[in-house]
Amino acid sequence: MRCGNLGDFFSIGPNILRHFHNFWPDLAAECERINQDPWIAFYKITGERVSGPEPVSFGTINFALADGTEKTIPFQRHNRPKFVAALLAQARGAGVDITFGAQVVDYFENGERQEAGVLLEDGSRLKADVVIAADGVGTKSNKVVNGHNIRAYPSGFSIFRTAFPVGLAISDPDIRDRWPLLEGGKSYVEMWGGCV
Amino acid sequence: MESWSQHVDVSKVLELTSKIPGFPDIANKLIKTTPPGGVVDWEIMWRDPRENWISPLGRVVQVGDSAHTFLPSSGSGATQAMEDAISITTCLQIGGRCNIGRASQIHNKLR
Repeated sequence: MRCGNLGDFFSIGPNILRHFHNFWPDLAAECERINQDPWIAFYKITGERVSGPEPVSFGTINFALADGTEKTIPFQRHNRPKFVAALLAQARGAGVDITFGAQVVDYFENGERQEAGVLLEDGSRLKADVVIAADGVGTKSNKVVNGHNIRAYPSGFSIFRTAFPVGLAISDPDIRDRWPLLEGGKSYVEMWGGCV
Repeated sequence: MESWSQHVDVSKVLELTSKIPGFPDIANKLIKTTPPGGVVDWEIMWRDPRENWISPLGRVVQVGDSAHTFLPSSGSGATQAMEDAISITTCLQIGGRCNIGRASQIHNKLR
């Protein structure tokens, strides 16, 4: 599986899971399996606890599946490589061909030929009825969509982000004592907030 | 530009936390356990808001960050990307092969 392992974590809203439950049940089940489902606690920037750890309550939705079963879906917190792997498995299961290592350098569309496509780094072209540009902030699709590149302005801010195996952290006994797992081996998220 | 391969040294992070009054030592200890090359410096960039994410004929459709980037702290970027995907596929499915341009326009309008 060649998805790479960059990108730490992100949240997936319950509305997405509702769609999966109704149309892609295998994917919904896999998302539930890999969901980190952490509890949450809020802290001041000084390390003083404000609330929690407790289950995440905001955004939870209750709905009925097509067969009438009641379902409660909270926000899900996913490890990026695992979530991408789940999507990949579902796409393959649906019979979609996936090719890796084919770098897209440009997009085009043609009204007369009623087609669109991408130009690959090796000079070859792939054509289709529709092309979905899901290549992120550095997308090569702005020339065909907007006629020009989209200018990005530095804000002067950065977010420092990291994700690494927990064993590295808890090798320090002070850290292990300060951040034990909850009862039953449950993990939780501490949100520290404050102004500097 | 935002990048997963721009890194910052842990010492820079500790330099910042040293300026936070009352920032506890245990948190610095945790930060110090980050492996070398482990801290990504994700630059926050501004972009003007856009209303158009489809090509003139509607045959190229941007979804996710290529259409609209979110701050990592928003907690919304991945969900918005998935919503885009669900929206465009539904519009295309309803419109069919002969109505791609219209389906894309409707998707763009709804999003």
